[in-house]
Amino acid sequence: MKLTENQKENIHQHLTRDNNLEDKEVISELFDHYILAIESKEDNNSFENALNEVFWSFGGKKGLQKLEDNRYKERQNIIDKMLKNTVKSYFTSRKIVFVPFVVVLSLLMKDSPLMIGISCVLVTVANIFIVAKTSHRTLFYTFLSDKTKVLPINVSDWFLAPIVLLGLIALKDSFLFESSYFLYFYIPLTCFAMIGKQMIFCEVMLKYYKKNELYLK
Amino acid sequence: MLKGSLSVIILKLLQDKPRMYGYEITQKVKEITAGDIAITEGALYPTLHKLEADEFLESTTEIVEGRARKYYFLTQKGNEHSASAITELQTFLNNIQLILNPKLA
Repeated sequence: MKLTENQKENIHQHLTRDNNLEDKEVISELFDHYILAIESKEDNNSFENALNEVFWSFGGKKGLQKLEDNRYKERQNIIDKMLKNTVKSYFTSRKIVFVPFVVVLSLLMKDSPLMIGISCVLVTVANIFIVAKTSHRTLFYTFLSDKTKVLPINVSDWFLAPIVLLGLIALKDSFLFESSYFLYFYIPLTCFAMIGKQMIFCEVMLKYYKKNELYLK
Repeated sequence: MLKGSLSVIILKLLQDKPRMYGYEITQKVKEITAGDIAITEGALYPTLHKLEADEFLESTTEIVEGRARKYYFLTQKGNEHSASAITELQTFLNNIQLILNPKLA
């Protein structure tokens, strides 16, 4: 049976509205499968029956939800691996020269907000792009996504905890002893660590987006 | 179906054909086994996604008839893994055969 545009729209609504699927990648893959499976059915079979048969071949609503949940987990694994590889690439390519240069530059420019300002703008734009295109929650822009099912990320933020702790101690000491030299180094370093981490994350997400851009249109 | 055999089936099919999409895999299995084995969609996609996360498969998306279609293909790692996985399953099935029909051995 050849499907009409209305019937295709019904399939889309079946996936998104009736079964609460939200992941664009999953919806797009299932949408194609549903159409092919229904179109292969006999002409005397009604559209509703065919749709129902395909729906139950996925295990009904529970099956579809489980499939989407598993996809989130698997994708998180893929992103984790990409993140790991990207971080590794900072130690194996020309970046090994570039990164210390930027770190030194950021320390030299500690009195100037220029560099941190530029980094912040870049990160802001990249974050908005990621959230808008992928509904992927990022550190700074969780509020932009109203999706309840977003990937659990930013676990690596915990690695910043020692730096923050050190900073708090430094702050306390500098106020106590009126010696704030450490702060001049600490503030740009912390900013760089946070922004740098976000930059790496943005790089990974952009790679992932590029790889899967067709799903996300 | 034997646990874990679905991933071997997928790897084998992708060894024989450079790239396939989900629905095509279900139809190919049905065709080869004359309908004796029907892969359930609820098991197929999680297995495909797992193989992709394990870097045995990669995917690419193309627009076909105005909609996105996701094609899967073997990676280098997947190629190497599929050879050993197929041998392992084959050995297991041979051993089962020996147990069920000792006279044939």
